[in-house]
Amino acid sequence: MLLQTEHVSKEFNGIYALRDIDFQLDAGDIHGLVGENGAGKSTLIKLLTGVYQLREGRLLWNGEPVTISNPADSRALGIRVIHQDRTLIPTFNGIENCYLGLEYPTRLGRVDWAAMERRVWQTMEDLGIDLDLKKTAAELSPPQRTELEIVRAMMTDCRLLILDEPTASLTDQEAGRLFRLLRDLRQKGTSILCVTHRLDEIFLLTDRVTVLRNGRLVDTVPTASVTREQLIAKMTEQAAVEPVCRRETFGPVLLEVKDMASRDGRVKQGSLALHSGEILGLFGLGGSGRTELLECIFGYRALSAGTVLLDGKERPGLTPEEAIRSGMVLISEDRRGKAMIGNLSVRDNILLSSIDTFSRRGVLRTKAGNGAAEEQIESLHIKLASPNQRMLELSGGNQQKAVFARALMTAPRIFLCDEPTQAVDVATRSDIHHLLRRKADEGAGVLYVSSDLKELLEVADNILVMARGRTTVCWKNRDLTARQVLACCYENQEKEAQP
Amino acid sequence: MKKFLSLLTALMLVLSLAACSGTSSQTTQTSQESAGEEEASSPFAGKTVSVMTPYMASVTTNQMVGYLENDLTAQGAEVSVIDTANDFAELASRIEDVTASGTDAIVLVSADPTQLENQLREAMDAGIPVFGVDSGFIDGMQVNATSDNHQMGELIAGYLFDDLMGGEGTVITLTHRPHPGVVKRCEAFDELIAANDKLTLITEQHVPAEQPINDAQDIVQNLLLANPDKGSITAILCGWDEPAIGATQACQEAGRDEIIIVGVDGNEQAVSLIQEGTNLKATVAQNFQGMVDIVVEQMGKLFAGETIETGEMYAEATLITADNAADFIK
Amino acid sequence: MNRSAPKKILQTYGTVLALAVIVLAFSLIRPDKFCTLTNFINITRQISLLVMISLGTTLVMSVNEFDLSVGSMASLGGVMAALLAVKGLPMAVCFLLPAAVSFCIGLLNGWIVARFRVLSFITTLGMSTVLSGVIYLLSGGATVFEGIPKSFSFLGTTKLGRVPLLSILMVVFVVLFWFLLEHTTLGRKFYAIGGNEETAKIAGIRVRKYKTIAFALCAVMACVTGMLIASRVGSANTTAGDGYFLQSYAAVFIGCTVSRKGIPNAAGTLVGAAILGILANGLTILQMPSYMQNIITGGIIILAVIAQRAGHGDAA
Repeated sequence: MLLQTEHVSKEFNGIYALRDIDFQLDAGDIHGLVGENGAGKSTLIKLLTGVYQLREGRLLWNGEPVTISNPADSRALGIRVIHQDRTLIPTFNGIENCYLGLEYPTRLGRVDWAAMERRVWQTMEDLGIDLDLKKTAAELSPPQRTELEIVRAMMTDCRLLILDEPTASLTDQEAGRLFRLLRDLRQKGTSILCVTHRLDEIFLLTDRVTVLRNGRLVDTVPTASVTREQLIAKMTEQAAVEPVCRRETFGPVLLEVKDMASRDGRVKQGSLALHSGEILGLFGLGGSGRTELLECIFGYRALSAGTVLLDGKERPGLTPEEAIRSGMVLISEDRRGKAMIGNLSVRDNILLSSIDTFSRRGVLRTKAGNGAAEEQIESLHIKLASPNQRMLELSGGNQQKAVFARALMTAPRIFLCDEPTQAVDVATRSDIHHLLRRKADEGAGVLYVSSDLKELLEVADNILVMARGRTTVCWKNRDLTARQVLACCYENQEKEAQP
Repeated sequence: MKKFLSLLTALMLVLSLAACSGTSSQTTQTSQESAGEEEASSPFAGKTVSVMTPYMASVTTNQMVGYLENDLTAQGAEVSVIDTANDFAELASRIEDVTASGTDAIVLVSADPTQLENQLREAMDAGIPVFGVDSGFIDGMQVNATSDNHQMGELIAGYLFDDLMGGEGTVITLTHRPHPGVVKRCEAFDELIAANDKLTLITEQHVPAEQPINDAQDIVQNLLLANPDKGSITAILCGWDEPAIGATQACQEAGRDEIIIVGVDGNEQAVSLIQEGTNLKATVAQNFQGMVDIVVEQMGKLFAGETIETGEMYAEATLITADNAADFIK
Repeated sequence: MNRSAPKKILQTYGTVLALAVIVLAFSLIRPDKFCTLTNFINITRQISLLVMISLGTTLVMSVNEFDLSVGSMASLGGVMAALLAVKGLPMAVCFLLPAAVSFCIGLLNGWIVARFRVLSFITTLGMSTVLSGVIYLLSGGATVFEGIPKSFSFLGTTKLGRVPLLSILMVVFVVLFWFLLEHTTLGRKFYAIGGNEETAKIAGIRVRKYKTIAFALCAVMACVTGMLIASRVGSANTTAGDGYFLQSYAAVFIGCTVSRKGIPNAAGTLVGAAILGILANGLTILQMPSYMQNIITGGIIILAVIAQRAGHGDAA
């Protein structure tokens, strides 16, 4: 028994985030931790990593009681964590990032960069990871950043590696590589605690799984002994989620993009047509330019070529403000960085785009605005203490719902959704799918970007593939298999690489 | 391209110089020309003099710089005025700059040389004579022409204590001891107060240099509240005129016309308040033109090759009261 | 629950509490002198100028930028107004023309920062130096005094009954800015931009435009403050505003601690300026020497900020 918690509880301002948790983690296990948003997963991890201090209950490490009162204590025990919001310093290169929190080796009083590089290389070699250490973290792709984080975690003796949504922005293929890496680590004696919303991963990766619900531990079971449906049933009180239906016939073209290229070269040639009533899935591997294409369409990223047509009319030099007024919204993939304002209230966030409609000559009509925001909160079932609560105090799923609420306030007809179900619980994910389907049925068009191919196959009517900054094939999503789509992706990638 | 750039730089330099010396730059040129024709033998011909001060915003400093500029250019010297807006560190760097550029003389105006000793040392080692107007004196300098601030302090404090107060009462002082001139006046205040048992110092308050009138107003307003009874404050003794103006405004506002206020400097706003018969009763006019005359004369001798006696030289100060205030208003 | 309740109070009201403690302390030590209506009216007049310049700073900080040129802008405002008054122009022109000029300078500040995405810190530092040069150019470096008509002092010295016009102006501006930040779309957009510029842009807010407006209004407030200083003392010192620059940031920073979200706000700025002003007032009434005043004031600023951080507890 590597780690054990006894009667652990944690409360904030009188509300229990965790209550009476008896959790056990065996040495050499890959242990999954699942639960809806707000179930207490993050709180448990923060207790283990010393971000929060334990006041009720106790922790046993290798059978001995320990106190973890700060992150340094946690590190000293050999606990490492890789967060969902990556904690690399964007302007540091690989070596500097790996040495964060470690003493720099010196030679004759000067930092010995050569020794540092050797040690990082050694660690990478042991792990079978290949990265360009000269690049800054900002220049790396999301999967490379995850790998760099793992390298950093393994620089010193790591007994327990905690992963918080490690695959949130990875494609299946990239995730596969990560899993092989994690299994290797287990082989070398590192225990792994993996928090994820993607249940497939639980079955692919873990030996045992623990389910949390509303701050209580529901069950810990060997993964092989449960089915997906049983697991979901443990997580939610309701039964399995209802799948969304798909459409075959669409209305007129709402949005057409022709030969779009971005000034920074991330998008080389993007073309697509989105119809009323359609959910168009846009699939691409990491770095394919899918996020950038959406940002270009929305007028957020600078263009070097291409035209955007809304309802058949050309719209050169579109700005985000005009895009919104023309009925477009962008749900950004980077929730904290581009989709919400953490320090402002949920209400302010919801009213962000529509503030002008709730004013008379620039003066707010507070009642009307509050009423409208509360209506959205109710209809989207956003769980919060009060609309005055700060956005960053909400759980991930509820934050995402609030982002959607803000988008819905401007009555959009074109949804540009970039990974809208990233780091969101099963129930919210289903809510978002149904919401978008309903909007499409009402005549809107949805451009749905996801790196989760299974999700796309589940919700999209048509699937467009993007590779290396170019859009390629568009299929009807009927009898389409993941293998077909992926094959196409790689084919295009190689084609591009050859000449 | 290079030529163009250097031309542009030169143009910028000229323009910025012109901007710095303000309206007087044009007269500078004409007077220089005529001086060159008429008396080519002037010891100042072809000499560059750097006039440096951190306190150009002060009316009096400004006046002195103006006199210097006029008199020196009239004699045929080229004058560059450098002001660093209350910044001593900046002034030190500027001294290094003019030393490097090989100026013929440095004149410090209202700047304590002890705070600039290292830079001045460099200049003096490079053979550049250093003069002071209302500044202070350190070894190696030629002449500092000043009012004897100590004497001025004695003059005004003596007049206040003996003539205006009748030898007894309570006093507030408003001071600014980082200033080399003001601190000597304050020392004279200290001595006189200590020497007289019938005088009580209520408090001494430091007035910052950025906006002395406004700050003195606030300070005095608060002190009036602390001493609300008529007669509880006999007089307010100020290290220079600007706080005296602020103190006067505060007393007028509060209707405390029994309080006697005096300052030092002979600033115009102060003189007009004296003339109007407000709380402000007296100030001491420094003889700025006299100081400048001393420096210009001594500099002329030095440039002509004569040896001069180094040290402090004093220009006599005058007491201004309601009786003679009219003479000091332009 | 019991543990967190005092913490929450400390976090939300720590700064206001500090202000109350300061007032109480002075009232106990010198009840006859400090705790009088006359003195409270005096205090409002003494903090009025600092509050006005700080309100402008509050706006710029609400869009998460800095304007380091407020001090020299204030000095310039005073000098411009005084010079116009000397020229014998009508008083309305003397006060409105500099305000218009400052608006343009603020627009320039904002335009440079927003358009070229450069650090406002550096841009406005540069602008501050430019403005000092302009002041010198206009005034020759000397205090402007000669020939200012009596009517120029009207705004700075008039009293309505016992209350100075400056105090009333301060209250009007605080209410105006509070309303602007809390109850207009402009204020909401400022806070959105200050909270997260990228999100604001994607949400359709014209970030450049609103940042520029914030800078322009800030410059106008600095100019208004400078003109009122000149009007109050009857002359325009070329460095009059410089002393307010750091104080105004101190006031806004203390003000941030008043808001639970830790963002700049009008009421907080008033509290911040009041803490600074009341300390200066009370300590002078105690006839404390100036160096002790500096030590005490600085110490209390630091304590106020620490107290607020401590209130955040282990969630930090």
